[in-house]
Amino acid sequence: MIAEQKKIDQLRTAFTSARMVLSENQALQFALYWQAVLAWNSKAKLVSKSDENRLLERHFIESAILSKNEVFHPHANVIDVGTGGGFPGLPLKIVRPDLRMTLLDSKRWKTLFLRDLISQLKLSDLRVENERAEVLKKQSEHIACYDVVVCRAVMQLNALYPLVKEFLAPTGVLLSLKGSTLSREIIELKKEAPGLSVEVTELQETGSMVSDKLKIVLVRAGS
Amino acid sequence: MKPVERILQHFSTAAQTRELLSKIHEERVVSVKGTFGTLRSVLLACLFESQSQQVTYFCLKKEEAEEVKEDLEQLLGSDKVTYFPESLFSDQGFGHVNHNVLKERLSTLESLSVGKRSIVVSDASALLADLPDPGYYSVKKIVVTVGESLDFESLVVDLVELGFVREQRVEHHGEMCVRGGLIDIFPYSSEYPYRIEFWDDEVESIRLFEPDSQRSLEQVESIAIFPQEEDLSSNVDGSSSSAAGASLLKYLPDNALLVLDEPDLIFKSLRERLGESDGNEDANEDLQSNVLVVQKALQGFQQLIFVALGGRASGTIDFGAKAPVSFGGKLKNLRLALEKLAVTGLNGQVAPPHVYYSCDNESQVERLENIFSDEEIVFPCLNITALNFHKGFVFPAGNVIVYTDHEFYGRARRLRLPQKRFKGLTPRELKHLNVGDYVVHVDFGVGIFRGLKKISVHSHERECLQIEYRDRDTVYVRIERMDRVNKYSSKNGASPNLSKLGSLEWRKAKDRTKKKIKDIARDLIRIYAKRKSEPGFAFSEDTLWQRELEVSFPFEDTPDQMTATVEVKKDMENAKPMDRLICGDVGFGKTEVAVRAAFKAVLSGKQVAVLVPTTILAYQHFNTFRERLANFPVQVEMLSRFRTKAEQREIVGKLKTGEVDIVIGTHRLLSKDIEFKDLGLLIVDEEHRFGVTHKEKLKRFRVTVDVLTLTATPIPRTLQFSLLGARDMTHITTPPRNRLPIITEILPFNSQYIREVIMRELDRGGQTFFVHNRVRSINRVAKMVSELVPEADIAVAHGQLSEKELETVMVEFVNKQYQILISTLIIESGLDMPNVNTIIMNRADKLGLAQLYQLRGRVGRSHRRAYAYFIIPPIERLTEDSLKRLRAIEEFSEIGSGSQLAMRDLEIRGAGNLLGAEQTGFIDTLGFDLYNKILEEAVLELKEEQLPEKEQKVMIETQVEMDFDAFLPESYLSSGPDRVDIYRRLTDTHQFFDVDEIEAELRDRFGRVPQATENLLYFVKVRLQGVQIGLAQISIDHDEMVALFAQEVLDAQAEHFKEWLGSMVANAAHTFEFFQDKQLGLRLPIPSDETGKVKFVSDFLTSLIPEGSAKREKIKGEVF
Repeated sequence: MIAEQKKIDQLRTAFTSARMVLSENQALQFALYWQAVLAWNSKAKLVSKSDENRLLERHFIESAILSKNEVFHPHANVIDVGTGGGFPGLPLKIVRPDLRMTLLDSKRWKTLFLRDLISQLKLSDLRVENERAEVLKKQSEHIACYDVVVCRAVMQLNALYPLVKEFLAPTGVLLSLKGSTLSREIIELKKEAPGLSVEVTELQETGSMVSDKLKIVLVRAGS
Repeated sequence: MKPVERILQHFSTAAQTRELLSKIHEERVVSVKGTFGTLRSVLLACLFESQSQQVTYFCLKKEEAEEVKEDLEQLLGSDKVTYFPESLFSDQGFGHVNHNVLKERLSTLESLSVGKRSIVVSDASALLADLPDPGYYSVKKIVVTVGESLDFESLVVDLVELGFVREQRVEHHGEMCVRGGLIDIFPYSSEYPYRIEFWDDEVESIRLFEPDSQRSLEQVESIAIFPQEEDLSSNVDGSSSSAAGASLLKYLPDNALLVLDEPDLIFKSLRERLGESDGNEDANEDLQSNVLVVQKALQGFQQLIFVALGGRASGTIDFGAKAPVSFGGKLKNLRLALEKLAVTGLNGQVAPPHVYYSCDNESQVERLENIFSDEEIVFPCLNITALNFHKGFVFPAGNVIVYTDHEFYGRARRLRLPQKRFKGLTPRELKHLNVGDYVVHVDFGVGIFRGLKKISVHSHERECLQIEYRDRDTVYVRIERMDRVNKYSSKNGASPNLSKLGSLEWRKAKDRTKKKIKDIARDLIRIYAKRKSEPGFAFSEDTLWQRELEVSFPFEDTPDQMTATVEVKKDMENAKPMDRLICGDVGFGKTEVAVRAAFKAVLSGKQVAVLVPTTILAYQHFNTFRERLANFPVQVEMLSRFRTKAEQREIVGKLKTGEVDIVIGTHRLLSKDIEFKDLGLLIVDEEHRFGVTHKEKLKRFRVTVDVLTLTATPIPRTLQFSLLGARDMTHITTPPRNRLPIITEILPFNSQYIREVIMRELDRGGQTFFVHNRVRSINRVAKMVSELVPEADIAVAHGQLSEKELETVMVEFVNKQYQILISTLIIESGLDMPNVNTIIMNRADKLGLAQLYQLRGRVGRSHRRAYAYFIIPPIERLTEDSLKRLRAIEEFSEIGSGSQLAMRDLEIRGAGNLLGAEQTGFIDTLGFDLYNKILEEAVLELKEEQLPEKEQKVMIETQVEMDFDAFLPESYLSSGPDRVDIYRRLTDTHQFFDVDEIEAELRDRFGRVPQATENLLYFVKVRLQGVQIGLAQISIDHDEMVALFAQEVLDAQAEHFKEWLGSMVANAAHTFEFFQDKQLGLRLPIPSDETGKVKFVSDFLTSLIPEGSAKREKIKGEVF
């Protein structure tokens, strides 16, 4: 596939206004990603139909912006659980090529799409797993070895944390993007797992591109 | 209202349509433009419905005519459309009769000559057709009506004169058969043959019958039978044929409306056609003027002319229809188009247009409706309907759009050819015994069948099989023992050694073989048990992607292919590991089934290995898989010599990490370094071509992963039962549509002719095989061919080339670098070479039947017409034996018994492939039928050994002695093979019902059953009853019946016999008696006249058995 110059320009502008700078290669990678999602969405159901027109804001920027969070220290080992069309793991990986990234999804066609896409983007230290989280977390190579688990799924925190905690290294942290119902969820989670430390931050320096309702939630073992 | 009616209605509302309908009454010639695709057919249909005239449509090409005809059949119903296709005689001159074409042509001529109103569809060639005078059909026709008096003999003579060919049995169009008071005939214009039954000189009944079973279907009152030929010379009495010829126009009534589609092109093609067919200058002028004659004849009719856009004078009515935009198979594009239409309408119309989406069949409709609702595509007037229109259109004036499925997906549209099943011999017919056939008797061994012989038993006549053994010893086998005799068939029809009566030789051979067969059976049972207990992987159900892949197949699934796909998917979804064999000719669509299975596996997260025997085959499969899966993010790779070491290393690495989903390869796949991340499906093509070591390695996979095996060698269906459960089998026997029969000719060597046939192939860009099976002289032949056809590039392939050299030659040939391949018999059978459509076999007299059949099958694998030529030396130099074989080859031109026998040969080979090579030896010893019977029994026995003893069945056999005639008299049924067949089926019956069926069939096919035959039927019934009751012997003598119970049933094991005995004694106590040695039996006085006695016995036995008590036990004679 050949990247369209118009998309590259749009990407540049949008990222700049979100206070991020894309290298030429990164812009190219995003453009290819963008085109691939549009080409495959009807087949692989990567994002909702209405999001097709808002890919840049809703998905690329919102995912990439997370890279500024300090939990992503250099060469951190990251797993994106329920990555779907690669969000937020793949944009993260594009803006932070140093991260070691695993994209996990149980839907076969989504992972086939991602694998195909990645082979075009020429990224290393990036793998795609087609498995259910419940199964993968029991495999020795995935137990307690991730510095960050990212997840954009709509799952409630008190269900999400138990599902992924085996992935986390002792100092590991679960990073989730959340909307409005947040405080109630945190209460539920703390009730069920009292030893946890939960930290909520606003999305930093987003400019006007991203919904201001979104918050980053970090969950880690004891403090 | 049905969708077609609605489409017609939309059409008729357009202003242009109204203008056309009024003009057509006023003007002699009306011209029309701007009709596109199926709109043209809609216009014709509308015209036909609103007029009372005969409508006849001519277009340029046969293909167009076929499309219009199909459209019209859907618009008007098939009874209102007749089709007059181009005769194949004219342009091919091979004397090959295409029965489908003849059927269409004759039906049309018949329909026209009786003045039936229909719309006739034809192409330019019909305007030149050289047909008998229209009067001919009406004068010659014969009408037969029930109740009418007719002279039987002269009717037979008349029918022969009409062109019916007398046969032993009517199965194809144009055949007739006479037996006793019955005449069977199969006119070309009829779907089914007729049976006319006479009672003396009166027509008693006329009924349709099914040609396969020969059984009657329904009664008709009257039939009109027309001449079965359109060959003038043989029919028009005396007058010379050239002047008598009439074109189709002469068959039309004067007021008929002619529709000419692009008349300028039609006339141009007629001129070319006539110019081509004769190089002579003078004659040419003559013929040119023939075109003028045609034009003049056309002017005698009212005409409607379709012209291309922009053509002709100002009076032309412009319908303004357009082609629909292309969607390139993308739903998104369709959605956008519909969204736009919903808003803007069609060309300024306020209401959104009526959109019809035509699919091939109901299942497509359902699939599409699902996709539309999944994708939330909604449109106010959208109709998805099962119509097979050939080309969609946009018609703004009628505010209507028709899209078609095949255009949407960019697939080739397929023609619906009349699906005439050229069924070969049925298995039953294959078992037909002919005098001189080798047979094998279970007890005595291999002998020669010498026919049926009447012999007297107690001065009463019965028929027996006469079998001759070595040194001319003879055994007579009574018909109730006939199940011990099987036809002997083996590979290549090799002649077996005759057995010697009274020697131990046969018994030893038989015992040895049976032991071996039991071993095989044990193996099968073991595999079966293992498979049943082994947990496998259950693949997930079909996803949207799976459906998308399947509909993107550019051809229509054949019914068998559909079944195969369903069965394979069901196996995969089941947790038990699959082990299925798909058996079907090359080009019948096995690979597509494999692609779908592989894709399903990949979508379930598994890897797939496709193992093939040769590098080229791997390459072909690789391309097919890649192509079919191009639209999906699936990684397909190939491992074979065509990949460098470095590439191989990379692929092997990716297999281990799971980056490669499907790998296609040769035995390289079985090397030690190959590791899969998660292998779920193994597909093996042509397994028998792998060596023993490779097969051993394959077994490793077999238990854990799903295995799909493909083979092009036919496997006998009869084996299916024996294998049941051990390995499942699916047969793909339906050829893809549009496949034409191969035109086959046998001819002596003629270099000029060979050049011609090769040039014809070259001219259409095709390639030719030239088979010469002698390495020694192959280069000489190559030189000869290259001198004959210097235009062509020629390659030579034979077994003395190294494997690599051979491979290179084949790949280059497949890639069309050569036009002719001169080769020995090594042309690989699995390769798909659709571009090769002419095969010439030198010295065909030296090749076996099966070889010829297989070689011929290498061509004719596309929609193109294929040709096969068997080159033989001059007839007088041929041996008796070759002549005999050639006679069989001649039958090749029809799909007849010749090919069936060749198939049989191949099947035996296939059985060997499946069960192991050493089995072929046993098959040779026993003959295939007996072999299979024993295998089947061994499997059954072994399965039963696992049953508790109590449920094991007691098997007894009843001997019946009688003192009356019981046979099929020759005067009643003259054909020997038919008699043997009926006898055999009678011995094979298991219940009364079967006997009654056979009796009904006899009455239907041959007329009233004579006394001796009725006796025979009762005799069989009495024997069945004997088995059921437990009698070892029944003897009917003069005025008494004596029967003895079998010792086995009197022994305690036979549980339900004890139950019955009480009621039997109660029913007929007076008949019970102890005979010598205290044997329990029955004695019954019976009437002594021959006509009623056996029925009397049978009725008595029926009364003995308590009603409704018996689960009918099968009669089963032990084989050994």
